[in-house]
Amino acid sequence: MTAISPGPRLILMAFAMALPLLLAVGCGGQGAPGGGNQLAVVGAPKMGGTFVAGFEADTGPFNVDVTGGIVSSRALRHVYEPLLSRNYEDYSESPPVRGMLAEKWEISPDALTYTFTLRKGVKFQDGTPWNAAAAKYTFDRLIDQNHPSYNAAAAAAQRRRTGVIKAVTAVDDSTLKIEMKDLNVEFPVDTESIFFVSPDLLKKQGMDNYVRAGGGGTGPFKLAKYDNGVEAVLERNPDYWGKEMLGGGPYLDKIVIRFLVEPTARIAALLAGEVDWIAVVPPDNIPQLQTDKRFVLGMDTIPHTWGWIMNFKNEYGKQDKLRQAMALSIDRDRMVKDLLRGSAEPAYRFWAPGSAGYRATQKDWTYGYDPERAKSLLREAGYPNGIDIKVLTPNSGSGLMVPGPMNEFIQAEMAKVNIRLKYDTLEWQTFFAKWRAGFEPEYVAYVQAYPTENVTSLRGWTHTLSQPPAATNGGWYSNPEVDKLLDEGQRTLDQAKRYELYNKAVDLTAKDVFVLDVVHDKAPLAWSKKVQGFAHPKSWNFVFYKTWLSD
Amino acid sequence: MTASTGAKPVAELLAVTRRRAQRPAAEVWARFSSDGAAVAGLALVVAAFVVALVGPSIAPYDPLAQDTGLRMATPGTGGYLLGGDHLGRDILSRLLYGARLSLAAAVAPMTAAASIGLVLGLIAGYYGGWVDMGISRVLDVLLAFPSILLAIAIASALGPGLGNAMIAIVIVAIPSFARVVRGTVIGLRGLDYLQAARACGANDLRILGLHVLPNCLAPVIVYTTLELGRMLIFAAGLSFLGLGAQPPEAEWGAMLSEGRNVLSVAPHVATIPGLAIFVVALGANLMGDGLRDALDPRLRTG
Amino acid sequence: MRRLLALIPTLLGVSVATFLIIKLIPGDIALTYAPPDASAAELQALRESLGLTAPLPIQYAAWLGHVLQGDWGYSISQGKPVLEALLPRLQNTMILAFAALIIAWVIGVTAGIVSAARQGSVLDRGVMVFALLGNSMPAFWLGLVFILFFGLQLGILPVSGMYSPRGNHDIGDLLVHLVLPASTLGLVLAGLVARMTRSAMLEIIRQDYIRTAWAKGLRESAVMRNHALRNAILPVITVLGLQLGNLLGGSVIIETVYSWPGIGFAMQQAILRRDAQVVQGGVLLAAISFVFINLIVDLLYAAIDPRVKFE
Repeated sequence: MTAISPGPRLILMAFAMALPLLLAVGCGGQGAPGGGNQLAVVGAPKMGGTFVAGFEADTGPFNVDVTGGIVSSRALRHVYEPLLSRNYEDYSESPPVRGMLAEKWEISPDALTYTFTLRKGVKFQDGTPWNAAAAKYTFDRLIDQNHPSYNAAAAAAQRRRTGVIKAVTAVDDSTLKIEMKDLNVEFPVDTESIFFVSPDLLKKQGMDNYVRAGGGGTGPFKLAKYDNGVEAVLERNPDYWGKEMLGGGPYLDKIVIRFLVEPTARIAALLAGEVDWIAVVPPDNIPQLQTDKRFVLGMDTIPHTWGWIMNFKNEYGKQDKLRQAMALSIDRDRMVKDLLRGSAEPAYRFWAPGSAGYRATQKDWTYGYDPERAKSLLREAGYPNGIDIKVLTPNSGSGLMVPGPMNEFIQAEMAKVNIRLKYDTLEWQTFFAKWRAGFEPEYVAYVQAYPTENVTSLRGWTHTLSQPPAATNGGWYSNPEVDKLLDEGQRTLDQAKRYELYNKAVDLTAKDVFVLDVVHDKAPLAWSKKVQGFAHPKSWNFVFYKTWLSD
Repeated sequence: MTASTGAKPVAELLAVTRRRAQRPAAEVWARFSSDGAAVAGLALVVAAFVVALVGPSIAPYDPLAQDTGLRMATPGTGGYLLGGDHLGRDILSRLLYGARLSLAAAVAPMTAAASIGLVLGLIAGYYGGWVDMGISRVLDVLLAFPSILLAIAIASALGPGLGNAMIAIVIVAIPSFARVVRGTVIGLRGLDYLQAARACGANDLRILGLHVLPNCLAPVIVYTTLELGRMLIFAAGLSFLGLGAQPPEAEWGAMLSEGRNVLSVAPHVATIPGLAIFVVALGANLMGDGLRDALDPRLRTG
Repeated sequence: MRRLLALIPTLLGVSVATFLIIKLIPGDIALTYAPPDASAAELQALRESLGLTAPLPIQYAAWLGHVLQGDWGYSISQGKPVLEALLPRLQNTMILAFAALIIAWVIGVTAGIVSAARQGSVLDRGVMVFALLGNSMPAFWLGLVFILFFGLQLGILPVSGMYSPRGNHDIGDLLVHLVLPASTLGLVLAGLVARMTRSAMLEIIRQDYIRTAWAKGLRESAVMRNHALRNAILPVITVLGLQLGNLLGGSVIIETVYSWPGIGFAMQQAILRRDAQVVQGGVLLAAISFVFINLIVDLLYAAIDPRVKFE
């Protein structure tokens, strides 16, 4: 039960009712031609081998109840599975949704009842069967406080999805019926981040032990070892139900995920051959990797934005003019060119090009770069000598790119308009936990990276009801007009009409500057030529289901 | 940092300074100044202090000003004599501004620790008995920790920032100073003229102030000089771990830590601040050694 | 046995100091344990149940009780008890410290002896310069230089971690990963060791009985070996024992530079994550280890020199 880590959850929103997703081409990918961004066909996959990946942050202990952001969920996805999910190893522009632990699902005409036909013949890694009772167990433990396997944090994280559930019934072994109290048209795809754990394991080992005991997932890999701060080791699940779906895979015997938080250690490990694949290539090493024939560099626009989520409970954050001033003070073009070496593009909106359902507007509150106006806004707001602000930032983690230098760049930019900025830094897991608890008033904003796969995800970030501890509106943003539009949108069955309502809400939130957007990441990944069956996923998520190693 | 230097050097020190009481200062200076290495060390340290004082006024650029076009500029390009760091700031200017922070981070805590240690050592050594035992026990406990770890524990409990790191260093440094002073005072306790003064009914405070204290200053000064180099490295180390100066402050240890990220493409960003620490520590050590040798050539260790 | 008993006050003192430092930490511990939507009343109840509202000495007693039973608190960032998070790392730190010690000892003692034997010569001068450099060099800088040179530019040695991700974690893999970190720590210390060995040797050489031996015509090397060295070993051992404290402390920095999974690295990560329990636990663990190591050194000292009496 991953928490509402923005990534997967929002990705799911993309599949409201199987409608074509608009994907802008963006700036296109960089890297070796046909290399990083397209799956090259080089012969039949070979079975076996140990694949070593260098992640930019710790995956966390593979506990589905503990929220850990995208780095955690990428790893979790190899061991645990949801009812349905996007096909991440397809690498096409808009990966379709496919059934995982559910073969198909039906929606009643009034959209208040969902019937899932569960996949047959699936076993949890501890040998117990997957069936409707097991599925119901997971839903129950997320909803019912008195359930023996209840976990408060997980329940809170999933409340956004489970809050409208009225009843969950196991009609028979492979049919699960879920009745809703209220309309939630995004529900089925939303279930992508609800992972199912063997009820037997939960009952036997208890909440404190089940992760370590292992065997609770249904996925293509099992967790063999988790060494905090060092690495996680996954081993192939020989009894995986989906071998045919993966074309005979998974091919790898073992996946070793090394946590290499230090950029120098990460790139050194790749260059030395200690690891086969790394995430978050340090931007300064991009030029050298582009010319090094031993490696493939993949970079492509993904629906992602890096920026500040503003805190409306902070004395400066609550003032419109000040938020606007901050947004105007950063020279994003220069940041992208000089600091990030083209591994990102400037962002002036919450939504990245290609976010499903989003249409850009040309209203005049699209903030750009105007330091003079920023200074005059400060004066207008009554701060001729500028202001002193504090921002909370993680030092690494889910999609955060290279927060250190980026933060310092922003600090210098703001200093030019008399905004004196100080940072407090926390490690990712701790930061995320603080986020979920709600922003503290001393900070004007929290640095964050957010996926913007589908415009319908706006709800989790901006609705008043999404304020902590319910969801990720950590900045206490509240605009009743926005709420109204979002609520109506949630009820609207017609997708086009729904998107229209959401976009109106988007316009309002942009006017409010509820976030200060800085850049869209192009997620530079690099791997050795030995690695096959992998390409840049154009998404926040990637999986190694079909990866194999050539000689 | 007695944990590292051990009881023996402290004993050495006390022996030295006792003998020193018999040697006039002029002779010491003559000996010191004839030692080329010692003088060079003194010159380096003085230079470092001068830089700390006037650095900001002679720095060619603002240490916080970023020029992204000059990111990781190799030394000599774009007007950056020592090159640019990962954010395009002039390394030379940052070194000049940072001298203040790095030196202060070492000298200020040492001074504070010396003062507090002086008082504690005086009291413990002079009064002896329960007072001594009480104070010494506390000092022993502090010395039972490896010094860096104790500093880390205190600094991380207080929170990041140069101020808190300095507080941690003070606490860690006090025991050694106190021990040196206490040893000196105990040695002096037996001196006839002190006993005579007491017998005459002279006020304790007067005795401490007029007779004991002046004799303690020398060992304290010598000890400070000997430990300066190590303290500099110690303080920079705390910043390196993230406990002392925070970015974008231009402290040398913090600069080194930031430069780590670009080590593969621009090694000078991390290595230059490290070199600065090394050179100043070297000077301090040369000076310290020279002073010790000048005080007692018999202890000459190099 | 008596020595062990004598340790107790020291250990108690160490525990009190650690406890006081923990109390210094700002922030409400109850918040970290409470669910995100706890009310003020719930928090207060939680505080009481955690014993945070009791007077200080009672809190200390309770804390000490836990510590003695092996409950050193819970690591927020790792999701497991502190002791469980740290103990496996202690071994790794010990490996690093021990390797560094060997390097420091071998290089340092040899250099010190040679230098004492050839006092005043170029060799002597050279060793002294080496010692000076070692004393002045920040270990974290030397570490980065090594990484740069041996790892990045020459690419012949690994620069992070204890085992390579692919290997089968055998001893050869470990040794290769050990080279750079242990050398960094060892070389910096070797200088100090050389110096102390040298001065210890010099002291002894000057003594009369050595001169007598010379006068009697014994070969210099025999004199050195039999008499001087044996007596010089004592102070050298003391020095090394004290250096272990430095090593334990210095390992934090070296482990950070090389991402060596020891206690130091765990502490540094805990610092970043504001996981106070782990930081304090690490310090306590290291201090306790240090105290015991000193005991062992003392015993060793006594064993070698029968003239040393127990107090």
